[in-house]
Formats: sequence, structure tokens, C-alpha cells
Amino acid sequence: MTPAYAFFHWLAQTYLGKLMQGNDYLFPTVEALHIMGSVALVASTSVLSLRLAGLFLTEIPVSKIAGQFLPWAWLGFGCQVVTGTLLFMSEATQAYANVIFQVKMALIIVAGIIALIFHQTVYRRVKTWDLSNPPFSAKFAAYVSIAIWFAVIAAGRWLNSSVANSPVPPPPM
Amino acid sequence: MGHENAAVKVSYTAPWAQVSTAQIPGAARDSSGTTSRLSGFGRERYNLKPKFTKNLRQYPRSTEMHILYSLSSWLENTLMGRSIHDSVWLFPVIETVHLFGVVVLVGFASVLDLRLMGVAFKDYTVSMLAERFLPWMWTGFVVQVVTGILLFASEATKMYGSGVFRAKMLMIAAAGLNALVFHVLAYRSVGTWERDPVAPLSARFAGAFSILLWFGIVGAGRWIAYS
Repeated sequence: MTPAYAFFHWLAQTYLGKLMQGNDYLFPTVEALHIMGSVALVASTSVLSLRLAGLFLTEIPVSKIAGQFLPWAWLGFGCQVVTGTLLFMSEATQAYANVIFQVKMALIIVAGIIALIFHQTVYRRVKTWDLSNPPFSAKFAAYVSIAIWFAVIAAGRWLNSSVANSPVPPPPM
Repeated sequence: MGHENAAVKVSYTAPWAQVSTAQIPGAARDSSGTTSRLSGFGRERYNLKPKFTKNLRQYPRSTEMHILYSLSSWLENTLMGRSIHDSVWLFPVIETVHLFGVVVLVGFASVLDLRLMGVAFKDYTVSMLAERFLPWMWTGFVVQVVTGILLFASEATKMYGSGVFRAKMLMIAAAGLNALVFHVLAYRSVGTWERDPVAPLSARFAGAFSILLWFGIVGAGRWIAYS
């Protein structure tokens, strides 16, 4: 038994975990909020990515778009972390061994790393290309970011059926 | 009277109406698979148990089959409906595309709504945002309509009886009406107020209604699966 499994098992036994498992209405409600959060998060990052790819709002400076849309992306991300944790707590032990859950988490981490690298390298020099054609690396980051966020949505949808169908593993010794 | 034994098949002229009562859950069937006419009205006619279901109606209220039920039944039995219903992976895949579409439609519509409400994006003109975001919203809307019809076709008669599904459709109609009213009234004079950080009251209301309705539609969409 790995420490991670013990942690997930403990998470499922907490008050919130029990609450999520025991209430028929709580899970769909939190799931609906999770989808609403994904609209805010993915749509606002997509606007920025489309601008970086040179496909959308090209006459507006990149820094201005980033300044106005990223707060909404962070709002959506906060909503996703809170609702996602609640959903996870309701079936933590099933999700533990689930490959799709692991893929989804890995994709989110990769999206975060790409955003961080973009912010620390190309975006540092944004003033030099704010209104001109974005450099190749910015375009590349934009396309990869869009692909990853939509893949995260697809993984989330897949997770919904795969976790529900997966057996409950035995409790840790 | 010989009416009780006279087996009359329920039939209509429209193709989607040509369904037998055998498709109504719980309907009484005689040996020929048809129901006796004049043996009762409403529930009695189909010999349905007066099952108590909150907000759910699995069968038409009137003695005649509701045209929407007939339409749902026809759609469900088309090759398209059957294929999606029987396939293990088609429904989830179409649902995923439906989720992609909701991000584009609701996400991009929200930008315009927040601008109209005066909450965010105040330094862009309303007409510029509308001009840029509307093509994406229409793309998303078309994706939603196409994938939505496919999803509906796979379980149409179930959706016919779902209160949440009806609420979702009504909210979509209300959102469309709201957009139409906004376009005809406030948007006509957009040139006079589009640079103001705070839009006129009617435009602010249109934005607020729109964002509430669209997020309500998203919530209802998730709830359909549990209804």
C-alpha cells in the first residue's frame, strides 16, 4: 500500500467525502459547477491562445488581452480546484487506480508547465511583439495549450463513466 | 356492444406518428400488439398503472398520442437514434463534442454579457466585441444543435418525459428570445452608447438574463443525466 493510496482512502473517509457519497443531489450539483468552471477556465485561456496564435483579436495588444482574460481564467481555475477536489473525494479510492484520472492530472500539470515556461521566457519580451505577429514559440504554446485544455475536458467526460464503472478497491491494511 | 373487442391500430398520416402503443411503457397489449379502442380514456385506455412520478410523465396526458411523443419515438427508432443508443462509445464521444461546444458558446457569450452588464471588458466597444465574438458563438451554437440532436435521438422518448430536459429547452428558447429582443431594441441604438462603460438598463438586463440562462442551461444539461 502506497502512502498516496492511504491518503486517498483517508480523503474518502473525511466528513466532506462522506457527505459527497451519501447525498444523491450533491454530486450532480458539484459536477454542474465543475462544468461551469471549465467554461470560464477553458474559454478565457482559449481567447488568449487564439490571440497568441494570431487568429483572433489581432489588433489588440497581447498584454492587454492577457491582463483582462487571465483573471477570469484564474477564477475558473479556483472553481475547478474546489469542485474537482470535492468530486474526487467522493470516489477517491476508485480514482486512484484509474488511468484516465492519472492522464487528466498529468495533462493539467503539463498545461501548467507550458503556461509557466511561456510566462518566464517569451512573455518576458512581450513588449517587443505586443502588436506584431507573435513569435513561433508563442504560437506553438498557444496551439498546445488549446489542445491540452480540450483534452482535459474529454478526459473529464471519460472519467465520469470509467470511475463509475470501476470496482471499489479494498481498504488499506 | 362489440367495441371492446374491436382492435383498432392507432395510426396517423405523418410518418413519425406511425407508432403503435406497444412503444408506450406499461401500455396494455392484446395478442395482436394493438390496444382496444373505446375501452377507456387516457390512462385507462392504455391500462397504465397510476404510477406516481414527481415531475415525470412517461405517457401522454390526452387520449391521443402527443405529436412530440410520436416525433420522439420516430427519431429514436431511426438508424441514427438506434446506432447511438446501441453503441458503447458513440454517446460519450458526441457528449464530449457537446462539452467542447458549450465552452465556445457559453464562454464567448459570457464575454459579451459581462461587457453589457458593465462588469468587465469595459474599454472595448460593444459592437467590436459583438462583431468578433458572434462568429465563434454561432460556430459553437451549430455544434451544440447538431450534437444535441444526436444525443436526443438516442433516448428521445426518455427525454420526452424528463422535466429537466423540458426546462433546458425552455431556457434555450428564453435565451434566444432575450438575444432577439436585445438585438431589436437596445442594439439598434448601439452607436450612441457603445463607448459608455455602463450600458443602458435594457442592455444590462439583457446581459444578466443571458449569462444566468446560459449557465442555467449548462447546469440543466448535467442534471438531465440524473433525472
